[in-house]
Formats: sequence, C-alpha cells, structure tokens
Amino acid sequence: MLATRIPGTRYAIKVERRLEIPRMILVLTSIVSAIAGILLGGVIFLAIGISPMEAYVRIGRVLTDLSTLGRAIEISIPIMFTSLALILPFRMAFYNIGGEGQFEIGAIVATIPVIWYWAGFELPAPLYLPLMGILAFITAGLWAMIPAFLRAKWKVNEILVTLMMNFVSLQIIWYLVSPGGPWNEANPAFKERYLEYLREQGVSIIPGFKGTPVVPEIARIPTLPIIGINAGLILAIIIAIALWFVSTKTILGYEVRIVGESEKAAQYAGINYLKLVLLVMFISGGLAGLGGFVNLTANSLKLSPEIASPGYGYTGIISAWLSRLNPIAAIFVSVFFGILTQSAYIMQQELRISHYVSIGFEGLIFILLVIGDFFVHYRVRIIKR
Amino acid sequence: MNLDLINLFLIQALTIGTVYLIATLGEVLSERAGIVNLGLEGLMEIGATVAIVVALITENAWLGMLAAFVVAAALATIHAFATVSLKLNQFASGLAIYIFGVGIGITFRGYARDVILGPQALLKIPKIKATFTSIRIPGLSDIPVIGSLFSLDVMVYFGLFLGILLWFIFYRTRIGLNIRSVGENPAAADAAGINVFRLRYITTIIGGGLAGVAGGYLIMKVVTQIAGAAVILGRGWIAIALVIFAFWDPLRAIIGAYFFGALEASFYWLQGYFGGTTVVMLKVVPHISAIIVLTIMSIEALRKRIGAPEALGKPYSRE
Repeated sequence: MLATRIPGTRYAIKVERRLEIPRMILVLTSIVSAIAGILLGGVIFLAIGISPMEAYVRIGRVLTDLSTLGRAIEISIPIMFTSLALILPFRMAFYNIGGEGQFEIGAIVATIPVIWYWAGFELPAPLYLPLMGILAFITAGLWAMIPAFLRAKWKVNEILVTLMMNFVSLQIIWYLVSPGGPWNEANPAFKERYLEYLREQGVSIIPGFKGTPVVPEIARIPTLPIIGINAGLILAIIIAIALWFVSTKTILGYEVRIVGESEKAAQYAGINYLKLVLLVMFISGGLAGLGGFVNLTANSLKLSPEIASPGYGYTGIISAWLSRLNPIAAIFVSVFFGILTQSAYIMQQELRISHYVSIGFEGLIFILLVIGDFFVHYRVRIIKR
Repeated sequence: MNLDLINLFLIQALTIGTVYLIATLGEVLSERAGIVNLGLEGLMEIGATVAIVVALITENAWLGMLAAFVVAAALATIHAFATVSLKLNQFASGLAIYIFGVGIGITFRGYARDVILGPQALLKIPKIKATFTSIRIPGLSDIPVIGSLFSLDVMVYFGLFLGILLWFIFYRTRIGLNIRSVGENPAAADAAGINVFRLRYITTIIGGGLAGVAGGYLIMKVVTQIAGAAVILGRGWIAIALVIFAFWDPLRAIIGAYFFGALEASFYWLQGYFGGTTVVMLKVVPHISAIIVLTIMSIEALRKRIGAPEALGKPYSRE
C-alpha cells in the first residue's frame, strides 16, 4: 500500500491497514500510553520549573507506603464504578460522558435518608445501606435515560446532552448544600440532633460550611477486615464479573456488540435500538450512581460540591478507554488512576500545585492512547527495498 | 425600568455573548471543513490561563491574547494531526484535548497565582481589564437605549466582524467554497485539485486558536480574577451546541451567541430579586436551554433533512 522511502537508505516505511486486530497490540498500546503519559507529564513539570523527579518521587511514595497505598485504593473504588458504568454504552458506541453527573445524582439521593436521620426521622438500622444504594441506582439510572431517549428518538447528540447534564447535577448540589440551602448542615431542623452528635466528637458549634451533616455511623459502608478497605471494593469486583458475563454470555451483550459494530446492521437484525439504549443507559447511570453512593458512605461522608472531585466521572472515561472496555481490566486500571490521584493530593500539599494536576496527566494519557490507536488499526513495518 | 439599567444589561449580554461567539465561530470554521473539535472547553480553559498569566507578566492584555491563541492553536494541531493525518476517532481525540486542557489549565492557573506571580501581580488585574474598556462612538453612543450598542469594547466589535467575515469567506470567496466542499465531499474536492489535508489542518488550528482567545477574553474581561478552579464552566460545550443551533452559518451563530449572552447576563439582575440559594439554580438555565435547543434543532434537521456538513466527523483518505 503506502511505502515511504527513508532518504539515504535502502529501507522504506510501509503502512498497511490491519485486517484483524491482535489482542496483544491493544494491551501494548494501553501500557505504553500510560507510561509515556507519565513521562511526558514530567516535561510539563519542567516547563514550569519543577523537577519531574519531584512528581515521580511522590508517585513512588504512594506505591511503597502501605497506608497511602490503602488510601489510593479507596480513591480508586469510585473510579471503578465510573469506568465500569461506561463499558456497555461505549461498546455500543453510545458516548456517555455524563458519568460525573450520574455519580453526583446517586450521591444526592443517597443523602436523603441521612437528611431524614438528622431531622429526627430514623429508619431501622439495617435498612440504611440497601435503601440508599437502591435509591442511588434507580434515580441515577433514570437520569441517564434522558440522553438515551433523546438520542434514540431524535438523534440528539448524546455527548453534548450528557455533558450539559453534568453541570445541572453539580448545580443541584450547590443549591442543596450552600449556606442557607435546605440541606446545609446549619439548617435549624438538624440542630438538636446534630449538635448533640458533634459535642460527642468534641465540637461545640455547627460550622455551616458548604455541605450536609455527616453520614451517621449506621449508614456507613463497613470496612473489610485485614486489608482495611471499604466493602465497596467487593461490590465493584462483583459488578465487574457480572458485566463480563453480560457482555460475553448474554443476548444483551450480543445486541450491544452488534449495535457497536453498525447501527444499520443492528436494524436489519431486528434489534430495537430505543429499548436497548434505554436499558443500557439505565444500567450505566445506575452503576455510576452506585459509585456516588459508595463514595458518600465510605470516603467523603457528606454531600458537598466536591463529592466527585477532582472529576471521578471524567477519570472513568479514560479508565474505561485504557482498559479497552474490559471490565476486569477496568478494576486494575482504576487502581492505577487511584494511585495517580492520591499522588496528586500529596503534590498539592508539598509542591503547592493543584490536585487537578492528576486530570492533566489523565488527559495526556488519553491523547497518547488516541494517537496510539493508529498502531492498532495500521501495521507499520520497515522493509528493505 | 431605568434606561441606564437596560444599557448596562445590553452591554453585559453582548460582552458574554462575544465569548460564546468567538468560540462558536472557531468551531464553525473547523466543522465546515469536516472536523469536529470537542476539545473547545479545554482549549478555552487553557487559553484563559495562558492569557491572564502572560498579560500579568508583560502587563499587556494583547500579548496575553496572542499567547492564548498560539497555545490553543498548538493543542488544536495535535487534534488535527490525530484526526486528519492519522484518521483517528474525532470524538475521542477531542475529549482527550478537553480533559487535558481543563486539568492543565486549572492546575497552572493556581500554580501561577500562588508561586509564579505572587500577590503583587494580582493587583494589576484591573489594569489588564481596563484594556477592554468601552470605545464610545461619538454621537451614536449618546442615543438612549441603543446607545450602548455603540459603546462596547474592541473585542465585541471584533467578534461581530469575525462573524461577518466568515460568512463572506464561506459564501463569497473561492477559499470558502473550497472549505465547504472539503466538508461536504472531500473525495470530489480532492479530485478537483483542492488540498483536503492542508485545508482541514488550517481550519482546525485557527478554530482552536479562536477558542483560546474566547477563554482569554472571558477571564480578562468577565471573571477578572485568577481562580484555582474552572472558569469556563461549560461555555465551550454550549458553543459546540450553538454551532448546531446556527446550522453552521456564521450569521446565525451571532444571534445564538448573543442570546446565550443575554441569558447569562439576566442572572446578574435576577440575583437581586431572588437572592439566597435560589439564584444558584438559575445558573443551570444556559445548560438546560442548550439541551432544549439541541433537541429542537435535531427534530428540525430530521424533518427538513438539513444539517451537518456531509463529511463531518469522517476521516478522509485517498485509498
């Protein structure tokens, strides 16, 4: 096909389209992009006058110190949910970029029983976690069906709609938890119980920052024995296995694959696109929402505008892409991003550089991954003339 | 209602509308040649950072603007390379640019504020903003109500000029015809001797640079502080939606951009009436409006069979 001679030699570079994509090249390009992204990120550090080693030392420290590594895995759990959530829609070429918002919606509705609790309406203790989880899944799932419906019905671009909705959900949180907002911790309705609780913790006043009262202990996700990580990890692993099963062994997975290959072909095969995309997005949004619930009840312990900070939903996009839409791989790739995010928090404290730097690194990895796709689709060889 | 208030509202609407307009026109330019750039939001965020930092260091807003254009254009070049030369997925590449731009833009802005510039530099922000004071056109600017339309800053006039210029280029010049044909039918354009690859590179790079300028104008004129958090807040994505609203027509883009500018400007006024946390919810109006506009446009496009340039989003190769 295309052969370009390397000047002054007897060799030429030949580029040809691959007929079949070997698994190896997918894994290889993912790993190379991740490593090259970290290295190239160092160059950007250099550009602003910080030695890249300063960044790498901190990543290394997260890896070698057990307590910070545990923290990194805690951070990776919400990322597991936001990346697993995208596997089915991405497989059918439905670009759900709304993971961030679906995550936030899940966290918002999971907070409802918490609000009841502090307002004096208490449920039986074993009900809390299941109720909050189910509420989060269903509501975030329904939320995610809006862009699915618009796309299936009128071909409204789903990337734009899901993205716009992220700003809406964030603003809902701002409305609820800002000082003076109905769920703000300083709301007089919570005062009696919450103040009593805070006194036990050694705090005598309600500060009234942007945020709800904390999640009561009966509504927190338990910590796993020995490893000391919250049980959301188990839930994420179960979901990953279930997703693997669904996408390889069921009709749903088959239909998703057909649509992903060609929407036209799917039509001829008699697949109802509307029904399929609604179901897939319900599951997708639900899983992201479940991530919000886990993050609320295990990590952040209160609803605030930082609930998804610094962009768990966006990290999920890159994590899903980097894991090549393989749910089992997504678990491990999420841990990688958890480590990166935790390192960024340390950089924020020690180098006075915003923890958003992790998002910058992620973007860089994503750019390289996209460019690396060239080698997935084309074979580049050096041949002798 | 007080006439001065109406004047002030119009000025604000046109100012914010100009941010939308410049970004939208950049996207119209690249999409007309067939390349979707979803990285707009990221280019604007990074443009905002580069503009304000360079402007504060050099004490010259125009150098800031120029730097924003260059850096955003450089990032758009990566997008062009990935999508035009390597023929890769335009959505993925754009999203990657978006995430990278937002992450790096926010990080460096905070770092510049805390470490590079120091508190002294921040005092110069009003001086930078003063670059964009109104230019009063003698006589016309004294007319009641519409007088405000003749006392705007130079960027507003630039945005308007750019819209008209693009329209003129697209429909009245050879090069515009070439750009459009590259977006509609690249194979035919290629056969007619038009350099498809070069045109797509040029439009994507200039379009991306304009997004940087839009971000720079926003931070220097409207935000006027170096925040360590996002400042674009979805305006880049709304600009992409506006391209669809405008049906890729620069003149319609002017109308759409000013409409969203007016929508945003109205919040500053409504704040006074609602107060409290209700006003927080008003901030979602542009985003929800964009979803509604997109839906209506999509239904229209299905009904009338009009819409995007035929080859939009599709890579072109000669094989």
